[in-house]
Amino acid sequence: MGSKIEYLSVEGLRVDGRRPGEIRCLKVQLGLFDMADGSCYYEQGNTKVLAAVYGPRQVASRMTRPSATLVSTASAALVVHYTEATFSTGGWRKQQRNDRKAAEAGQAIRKAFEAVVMTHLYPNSQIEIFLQLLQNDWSTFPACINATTLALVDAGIPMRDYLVASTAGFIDGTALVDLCQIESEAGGPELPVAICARTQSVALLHMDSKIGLTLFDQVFDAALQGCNLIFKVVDAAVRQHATQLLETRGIGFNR
Amino acid sequence: MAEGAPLRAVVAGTVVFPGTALAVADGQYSAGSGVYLRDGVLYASLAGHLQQKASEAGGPVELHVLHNKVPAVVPAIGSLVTGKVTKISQRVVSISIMIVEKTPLVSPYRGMLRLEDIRSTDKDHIEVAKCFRPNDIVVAEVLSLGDSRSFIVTTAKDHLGVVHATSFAGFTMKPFSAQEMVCTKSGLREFRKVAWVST
Repeated sequence: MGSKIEYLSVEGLRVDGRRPGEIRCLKVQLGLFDMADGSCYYEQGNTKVLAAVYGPRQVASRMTRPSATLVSTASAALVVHYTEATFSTGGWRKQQRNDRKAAEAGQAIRKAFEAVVMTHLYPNSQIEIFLQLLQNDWSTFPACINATTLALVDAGIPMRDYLVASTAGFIDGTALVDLCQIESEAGGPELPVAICARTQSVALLHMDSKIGLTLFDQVFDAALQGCNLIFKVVDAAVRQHATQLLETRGIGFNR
Repeated sequence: MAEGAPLRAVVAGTVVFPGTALAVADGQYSAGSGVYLRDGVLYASLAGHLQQKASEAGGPVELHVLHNKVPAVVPAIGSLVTGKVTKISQRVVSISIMIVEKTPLVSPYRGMLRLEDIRSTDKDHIEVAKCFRPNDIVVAEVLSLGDSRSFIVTTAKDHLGVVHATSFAGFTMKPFSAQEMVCTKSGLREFRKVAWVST
């Protein structure tokens, strides 16, 4: 066998120098685009995602909207377009016309957000969410969820709660939070989880890999830990952005 | 929020975020825009500035969250909408709704005005071409949410109808009567269903 990667060093450090319970460095920028109602640039380590929200708007005609869109006079339809840039993984990747995985990811994100977005306030409309993955260093699904939450908050679309997500895995006998590309190739289980930050209730959980029952609790707790750590950063970013914007409108605060 | 910790009402003027618990809904506070009620507690649904609005007759104080963006509006049943006529046919007038109540929309909604909703009198002899023409600005009232394609509106009231139109000569017309408008330059009269409130 060739050189074996040490996923967890003797000192307990991972391949990128993190501790098992640490998430990667987050960078959040809100309100990038003027044309979009809400937008967010989100970096989680080397995973970079751009989210833009348009809505509520008139529902697109049947020809242009995805077939799974549920149009109703009772609530707004959430439409999620998820695409990966051709340069997002190492080397050029051919852009697929009917990208099954991207469509599935878009549907999963839509279902997660139907739980928190108050769509009943906008009947006969649609809220369109565009997600573009610029760089893929694993944990892309949680990164998209977090970026979408921020973009929806920036757009002023009422939500019941923040939706935050994180992955967790289990390598060398330790539960790891927020897997990166190298760690995902170790062959261990992976559990992406999205929770509502304040109620701590699970909105979405992906079980694509086999996890033993005894391991599941450990990995799930690690994922929850990751979500809460991410929420701290997301919350701080929204506070800073909102405070800044409201101050530019001349609304001061008693701090 | 810790279980059992007393919930003190958040002071107006603070910045709140989606999911922030604001107050217990015990009759003193009620939910306004940007606030929702769940399990007897009022939570914020927007990120922004908390405001209180005292309601008349000593009712509960309404809590609002003011976001930095103008709140999005969707035409509701009974709301007054302003739009431009895009297409007319024998039975239907298509309108592009641009303003809802007093709020201009970022992107227009489609509205549909049916023949029987154009006016309330003499419905058997309505001719659409004598009531509306493309590019007329119309004030209408939303009748129903319709389907995904368009909202259904009505102009069957005196104060609803055409508020601005351009004559065949290409100049602005001003209202002459409830059924006619007159060109300001040429003096020629044209038939329209005018928004006419007799003073």
